[in-house]
Parts: sequence; structure tokens; C-alpha cells
Amino acid sequence: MAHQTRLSRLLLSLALGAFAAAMLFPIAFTVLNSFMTEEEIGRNYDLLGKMAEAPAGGQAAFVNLKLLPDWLTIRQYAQVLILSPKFLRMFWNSIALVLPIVAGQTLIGSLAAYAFAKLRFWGRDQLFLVYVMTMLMPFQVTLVPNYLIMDRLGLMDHELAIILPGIFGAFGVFMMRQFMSHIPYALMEAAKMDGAGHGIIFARILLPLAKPGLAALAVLLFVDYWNMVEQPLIFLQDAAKQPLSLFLAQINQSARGVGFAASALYMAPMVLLFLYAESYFVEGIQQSGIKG
Amino acid sequence: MSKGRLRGDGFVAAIFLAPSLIGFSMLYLLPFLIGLYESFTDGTPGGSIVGLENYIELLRSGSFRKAAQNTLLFTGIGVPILIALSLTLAVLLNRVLYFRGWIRTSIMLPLVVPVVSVVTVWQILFDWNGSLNAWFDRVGRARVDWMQSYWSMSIIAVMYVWKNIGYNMILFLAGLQSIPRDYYETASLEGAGRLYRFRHITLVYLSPTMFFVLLISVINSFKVFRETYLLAGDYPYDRLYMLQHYMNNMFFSLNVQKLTAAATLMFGCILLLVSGLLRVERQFREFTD
Amino acid sequence: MEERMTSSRRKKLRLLTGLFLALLVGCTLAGNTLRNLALPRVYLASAGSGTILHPYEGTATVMPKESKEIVNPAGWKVARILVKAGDPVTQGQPLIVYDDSETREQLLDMQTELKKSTLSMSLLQSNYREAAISGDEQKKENARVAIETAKLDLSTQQRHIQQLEKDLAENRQSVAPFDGVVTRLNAAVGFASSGSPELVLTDSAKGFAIECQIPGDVANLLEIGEDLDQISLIGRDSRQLTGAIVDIKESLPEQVNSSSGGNTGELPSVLPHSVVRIEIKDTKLQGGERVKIAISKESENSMITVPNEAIHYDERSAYVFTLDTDSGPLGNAYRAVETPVTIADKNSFVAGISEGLFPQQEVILHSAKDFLMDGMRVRR
Repeated sequence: MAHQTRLSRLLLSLALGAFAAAMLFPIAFTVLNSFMTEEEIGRNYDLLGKMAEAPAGGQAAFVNLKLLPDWLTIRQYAQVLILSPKFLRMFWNSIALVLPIVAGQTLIGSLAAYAFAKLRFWGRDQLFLVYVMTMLMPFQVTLVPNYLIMDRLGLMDHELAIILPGIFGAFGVFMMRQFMSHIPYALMEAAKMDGAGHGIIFARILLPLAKPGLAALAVLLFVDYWNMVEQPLIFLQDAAKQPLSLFLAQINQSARGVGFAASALYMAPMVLLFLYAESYFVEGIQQSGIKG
Repeated sequence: MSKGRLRGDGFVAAIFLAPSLIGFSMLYLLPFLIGLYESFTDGTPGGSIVGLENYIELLRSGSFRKAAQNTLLFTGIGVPILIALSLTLAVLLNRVLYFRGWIRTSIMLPLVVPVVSVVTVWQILFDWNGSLNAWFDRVGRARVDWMQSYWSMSIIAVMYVWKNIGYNMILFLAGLQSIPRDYYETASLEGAGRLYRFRHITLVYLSPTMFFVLLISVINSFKVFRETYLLAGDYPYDRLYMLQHYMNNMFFSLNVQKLTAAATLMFGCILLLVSGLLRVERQFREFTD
Repeated sequence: MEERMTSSRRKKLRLLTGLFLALLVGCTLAGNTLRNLALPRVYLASAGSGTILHPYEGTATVMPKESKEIVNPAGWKVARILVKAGDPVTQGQPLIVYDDSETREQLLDMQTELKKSTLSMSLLQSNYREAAISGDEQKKENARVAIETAKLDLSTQQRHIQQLEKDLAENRQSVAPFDGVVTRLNAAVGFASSGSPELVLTDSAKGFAIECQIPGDVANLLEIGEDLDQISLIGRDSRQLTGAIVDIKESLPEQVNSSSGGNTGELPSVLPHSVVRIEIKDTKLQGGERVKIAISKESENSMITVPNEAIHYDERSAYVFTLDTDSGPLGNAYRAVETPVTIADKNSFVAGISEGLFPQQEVILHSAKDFLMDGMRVRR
């Protein structure tokens, strides 16, 4: 839009920059507060969750929202990383739960997506609709039957009770199908001329072309499952197997100081992953969304 | 697309679909069908069929109606707000800007931040003694118990928008960039105003994207349960009591019949929504093609 | 989309990610994560509260309360036995018939002797008459004395005969002195019993009794006069019987194994067994039946209970390990603490603690390591 003046561009940039800063606020707040001393955190946020009315006639008391700590300390990190026996174990638990899910759903999803996007068979669109429907369902919808099935399979309290449903989630199929339907047939056609079968077309042509889609899917899945709280809450009673998200859900209520450090550490892998894969991620999401 | 290429792929398709389909039917389809069956039986071990009794009882239950109402309300209001905001943002970001990349990255970042990591921040902001009330107090207004009042749903909506606006914005950005520039130029030459161009070019050509965004937004509106759960627990303020809370609590009180009936009803509603969307989308596609 | 991601930025991010992971791995290896896994794992139970059940189960033989030994009164050989062991008999019923032929012979002899004496008596009387006629005073006197002597002999013989006749009548057979049951039969046809009773007869009217050895902890809670109803016959007829305790006698303390010190968790059996006598009223019993007795007593007052497994002993006292929690914000650190306890009561599963613990307090049942020491760090 060439008629845009420099001034309006600057103003708009500033406005959007402010908005972006506001978006970043919770993240920055968590990270910065993680370097606060326990004492300062207590002083600032002790009033949280206390319903007591303000003393009669006195000043109403509020928490003191503070972005920058008075004193920097890495004590909280030392607490979390070195002194606590639980944090890192649960961190690796999380990794052990999430990595198989991401790898499995990406792979299995791509395979199924290929069939949905590039092959024609009876009942294709109806079946795809079933997948989409399932994807839309909240986890609670199939909670009871899932519980029964896991119980029957003897998987209660086993990591597989989380991993298996994760691997076969419908989102991967949906997303990859969306992405793959944009890959032109012409490329497949050329390979077919050279005598390649569907397996080779999938592995040598579709997958490399779908790289942004795979990256986007992987990031989204990673985030989604890294985040899960309800599933392990029900399926993993054994504290030794629980992922970090449960730990954080408990810690936030009791110890805020280390909570910030733990939270910052918990979001770090996600943020790093996102920043690293951002361009692929953006491209992948965009291509999957352009046409239905 | 030529039909010859696509005919007779059933066998290959079966191979490609098999791994997914096996797991999918075992872990999603079968549980759903079991749930469907359970919803028509009474709770006894033998399980005799009682027809629609569970549903009638469910619809009579006040807490279910409240939960359904809240879910509907939240999805019905939250999703359009989110879409409107992210579309605005996308339109604004689709211009030449300073720090455009940085701004985009910042807006997308909340997408990858785990909920549990920022729950404390929300708490600090929206608590009775929280910062928002502190600011209210400073400008001389009475404080509001955000999480325990009519406002609570707006708070949850803020979290929902915060988390999902980036994703939708990216999708819309792609949609916007796929609209050929000369459409706008032609329209400008013909004397069409900004609003006209937005309504008749931008919105029309964004409609396929819109469909996708809508789906994703609905899914994510269900995921907001996690924030609510972490902030307010099993039994939050009335306004926040969602269907997921209801189902979760039914699960923990072992009321399988009510849960499965509620799940089936929810499924039915989503099915209606999706098929409605599909129909609209198909019409639109025919229209734009 | 413009390409914003320069390769240098990507390199930086890669480095950052690597550093982050290295930090986590390093901390995992160096911090408490691994060390904590090396701590002995302990299994806990929380102290309950309630009464302590003292169960006893045992078997005993029903003994008649009163029995009579029937002896062979005359030492005659046994001719016929009319009853078998286990037979119920009524008062007056003949039990054993003895061989009286010898005595009968003797009686005949005596009777013959008597006849002879009677004959010689008449001779003496005629002698006396002659002497009286002859007037020979001396002769008369002699004849009178002879008659007197013979009279005495005669009466002696008659008494003998009477005695033998009585013996024959009385000892020809033994009869039951009361209603009862034959419990033992020693007699054998053709033999005279040598001192031991021919048979033993129980008096069913007087009732039966059992005696059993009951561990001290249970016996201490029993009272004389107490009714017990968990007694049942073993065998085909598993009837339920009732009884009452008539006597509790402490038997001598058993040899206590004094070497059982240390942490074996075994309780030195302090309380000796008691012999408890229980009377059973039941007319259908005969004696000799096996019965099963179950007694289940609760301690009188409710107390804190701990599984025996958790209790350790040293030379002087008993103690348990409790858990000391240093609660940190990121999970807790645990320490095993030796807590002396006073055991007030115990059965074979739990011990009642009168001092040292509070209800619901968690105690260490056992640990993955062989032994624990006071203050040792553990994980749960």
C-alpha cells in the first residue's frame, strides 16, 4: 500500500509493538520474577487468594505487581535444578511422554493424510469427517470408555495410557491432509511416469515437500501434549511417572518463588523449539489453512 | 483433477490408513461407541436398556443445563471475538511495518507457552487482591472479584484470546496474502470504499481460511477448560462451569450414565456445527469458483 | 513470507538449545535427582487406632468330667463281655460276666463239709447221751465240749458258705452303677485282670470338659465362668457346642529364646501359655470327640495399632521408624527417625502402642535396604 505515509506506518508500528509487548507480558513476567528472591516474592504476592477484607478504615491491600526484581538471584533455579529431586525427573518424564507422541502422531498422521489427500477410495470424505469430529471432541467425551479400555488393557498407571491415544490422535491426520492437498498432483504424476509406487511417492516426494507441515504439526503437538494436565491426572496416579505439568499445577499454589523458576524452565523448550522452527511453523500452518 | 488417477486406490489407501485406523478405532471410535451404548443403559452391572431416560434426566439436571449454557455462551461469544480480533490484527500486520517480524513472533509466542507456566500470572492479575483491582483502586473504583463474578467469563476469554490469537492471525495472514492485489486495485478504481473492499473482497476470499480458523478456534475454546480448571478448580464460579467440568465431576463421582449422555449430546451439537459449516463452505466455494 | 531467519540466528538458537539441554542433563546427573533415586525406598503404613483382636484357634479332645473305673471285684477270670467300648449303658445293666466255676466248686465242697460236720454232730450227740446215761461226769464233760466245738465249726462253715453264696451272687457279673458310656474296655475273655480296671465308664449326666493350651495374650482376657460358643465338633457331625470356662491355669513359662535380640522383629514370647478348662454341657457327647475351638477377644481399650512388621527391638526396648519430613517447595526430603514405643498389647499381626505414636502417624513398614538407622535419609 504505497500511499501509506511514514508517520502512519510508525504510529501503527508502535501501536502494534505495544500490543505485542502486552502479549509478551505474562512470559516476560514469569521469566523475570524467577530471578526474584523468595523474600521479595513473599512480600509482593503473599496476598494472593486471601479473601480478607481490607482492615476497617485502612488502606486496601493489594499484591505488588513487579516486573524487575530488586535483587537478582538464581537461588530458585538452584532449588529447582539441583536441590529438588523431583523436578528434573518429572521433566524427563514429560519428554518421555511427549516425544513418542509427537513422532508417532506425525508419522501415522502423515500416512493416513496421504490416503485422505491423494488417494480415492469409497467413503473417504465420510471417514475424514469422523476424524474431524473426533478431533473436535474435548478429552472428557471419551473419558469413561477410554478409562475402561485402558483398564482392560492393563495400562492404567502406565505411560502407554497417555502415549497410545496421543499417537493416534486425529489432529495429525487432519493437519497433514490439509497440507498435502496443496501439493500438486503434477509432481506425483512425474514420479509415477518413472514407475514409482505409492510408497516411494510418499516417502520421496510428499514427505520432503510437506516438511513445513510436519514441522508445524510437530510444534503444535509438542506444545499441546507438553501442556496436558487432565490425562495424566486421571491415567497416571503413580507420582514417579507423572509429567512436569502436574508438578507445576501443584506447585503454583504452594511455592510461588520456585514456581516461577520451574515455569520458566518448563516453557523454555517450547519457546526455543518455536523460535527455531518458526519459519517452517508459520509456513506449515498457513499452507494447511488456506483451503479447506 | 482427473478421475482416472484416483480410481481404484482402495487397496493402497487401506495400507496407508491401516496404522492410523486401527489405533483410532480402538482408542477413539470404540470408546465413543461404548459411551453411546452406556448412555442408553442404566448403571447396573447387567446394564439394561432404558432408552432416553438418561437424557431426560440429564436435561432436567440444573448443573448440566448450566454447564451446557456456559459452554455454548463461551464458544458462541469467544470464538467470534477471537476471529474478529485476529482478523483485525492480520489486516494491520499485512502492511509494511517496522519490526514486523518481531511483532509477529511476539504475538505467536503465547501459542507455545504452557498453560501451567502462566497460571500464576493470571492469578496475580485477576485475584481479589490482584493487580487489576489495584489499578481500579488507584483510579477510585470499587474492586471486582473477577473470578467470582459475572466477569469471570471475560477473564477466561482474555486468556483464550491471548493464547490463540497468534495462530488465527497467521492463518488469516496467509489468506490475505493469497488474495491477488489487483482485485483491490480494480475495486479502488471503480470507486469502492475501504469497507466495501473489505466486505466484498477480503471476507469473501478469506472464507475458506475462515472455515479452518473456525474449526481450530472451536477446538481451542474447549481447551480453555484447562485454564479454568487450574485457576478455579473442580467447582468454579457458576459462570465458568463448563461441560468439561460437568463431565469431569461426573467421572469422579462415577456417574457414567450422565457423563456418556452428556458426551453424546455434546457430540451431536458439534456434529451439527461441523456439517453446517461444511455446507456453508461448499456453497461459498461454488460461489467463488 | 519474507525470510527473517538468518542462518546466524538459527545457529545461535541451536547453541542456546544445546546449552539448555546440557544444563538439564548436567543437573540431572549432579543434583539430587539421581542421588534421590539411590536412597533406600521405604514403604509406609499409617498407625491405626482400635482394639486389638486376640484370636485363638485350636483343637481339643472332649473328656468326660467324671468317670468310674469298674474293677474286677473278685479277681475271677472273665467269662463273657456284654458291652463294647462306646456303648451307652443304663444303670444296672450287666457289663461283664465272670467265670465263677471255681467258687461254685468250693461252695459244693463246703456244703459237703457241712454235711459231714452235721453227721459227726449227730454222732457226738449220741456220745453225749451215752455219757449222760453212764453218769460218767468226765465223759459227759468231754462230750459236751466236743459238741460245742463242733457247733462252732458248723457255724463257721455255714458263714463260709453264706459268704461264698453271696460272692457268687454279687461277683458273677459287674453292672453299670449309673447311666453312662463305656469309654475303655480292658477285659479279655479268659483272663483275670491284674489290678487295672476292667472297663471305664463315664457319667454322661455330669457333663464333659475340654482342656486346651491357650497363648497368654488370649488367656489373659478370659474369665472363669465365661461362656464360649465357638466350639464345633470335628467330623461328620459338625455340631456347634457351647461351653463355659471353669479353670485357667498358667502353665510353666516356656523356654524363651534369649538370643532373639536385634532387629529381627520377632516378639520374645513373654506370656506363657495357659491351660484353660472348658466345661461342655451336651448329652449327646460320649467323650473322646475332637472339637475345634475358636476364641476371639478384643482388648478392652482402643489404642494405636502398628503392624508387627514395623516394630523393632533392641536389648531394652521396642521402637519404630517414623518419617521426618523436611518439606521444601519442590517435594520433600525424608528421614527415618527412631521412635521408642511402649507396647501395651499385641497379637500376631499388630501391636498396640500405648506411648510414642499418635493416630495416623506414618511408620516405616520396611525398606528396600536391609537395615535402617536413626536419621538415615530415605525416599518414599
